[in-house]
Amino acid sequence: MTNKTLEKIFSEKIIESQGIIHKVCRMYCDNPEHRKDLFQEILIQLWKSFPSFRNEAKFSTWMYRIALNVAIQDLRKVKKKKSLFFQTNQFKERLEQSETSIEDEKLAQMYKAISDLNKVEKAIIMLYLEDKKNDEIAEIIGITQNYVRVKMNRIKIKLSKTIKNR
Amino acid sequence: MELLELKSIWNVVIEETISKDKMDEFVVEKSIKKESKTVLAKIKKVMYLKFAVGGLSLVLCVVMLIGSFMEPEKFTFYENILDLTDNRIFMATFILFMSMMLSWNFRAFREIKNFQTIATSVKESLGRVIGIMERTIKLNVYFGALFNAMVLGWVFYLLNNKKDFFMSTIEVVLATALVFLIGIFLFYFLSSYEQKIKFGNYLDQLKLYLKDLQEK
Repeated sequence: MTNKTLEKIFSEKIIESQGIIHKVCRMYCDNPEHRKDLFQEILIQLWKSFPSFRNEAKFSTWMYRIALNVAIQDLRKVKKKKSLFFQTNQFKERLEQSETSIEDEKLAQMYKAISDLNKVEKAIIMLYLEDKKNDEIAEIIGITQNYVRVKMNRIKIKLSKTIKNR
Repeated sequence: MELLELKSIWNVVIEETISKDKMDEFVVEKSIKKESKTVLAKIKKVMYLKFAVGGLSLVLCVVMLIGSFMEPEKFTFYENILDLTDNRIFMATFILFMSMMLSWNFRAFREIKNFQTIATSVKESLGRVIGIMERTIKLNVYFGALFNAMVLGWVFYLLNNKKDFFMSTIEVVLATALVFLIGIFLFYFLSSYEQKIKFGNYLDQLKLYLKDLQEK
């Protein structure tokens, strides 16, 4: 198979499932610039791994694995900015640019709740929000189904605490 | 915010993001041709430089060493500092060091390349990337310490030995060995510190994530 053909097959498959990359980027970055960089990095890594994709796993599982690995191992230093993010006008400005039509307050609540989770917890909650079953979450993350349940309970407690503390 | 509420907001955000930032074939093709900026990609980039510089130096040293046996008068390196024997021993140590450095770096490079082309679970990937980084850091520290100590040892030897290599006094040999050992010790700590500054926090963070996934 020529490189051009492989590129074409890859493009078609990725465009079809591009939602996965958008979801991962949304979960890990509240900054549009950072989101763009992460999006690109995920695409590059997907392309590098594509020749080794053997249909043993579902294409979506394969994509989630790579996208989450890239997001978790991403080095960009945004932590400090993030903690300041909610205390400054930056957040308001972002919302004024009308990234979404959702009520500002609700969107802020969502980001606040998510920002208190660590990168691994973000991966689990994202898969949960996507209605993935415990066995698929376990396969993507690499833990047992039982531990997925334990982690989910801990995340729920953390989320409710975050909201109460607001 | 309950999980159900979070889910409904999440769904709307995602739906809007996908419809707003929808990518086409052109974007995919353009993106995959760009350079990766991950930590491992950056480490690999430094390795390319090491292969180029190290490989060239190795070839040069091999030519100089062989040349010094075939036509000694043409292949003496810094004849006012090194005599023929010194020159050959210097080249031999340098060849040995470069060969070791290149072969270990090549193994690390292959490991990174394999890692980058296989999709594993989050936990396995974290374990592997931590392992690769720890080994690469060790490699950089050991070879950094060894190379600098070797240079220091040679400089000390050249400044203190005015005779032929095999005629040098036991004091010079012992003092050179001592300088070499002190050099290893000193540069080991300096290199470790440098690597810690570069990758320490990042590696600690990855280890925390991995620990979080280890079931008790």
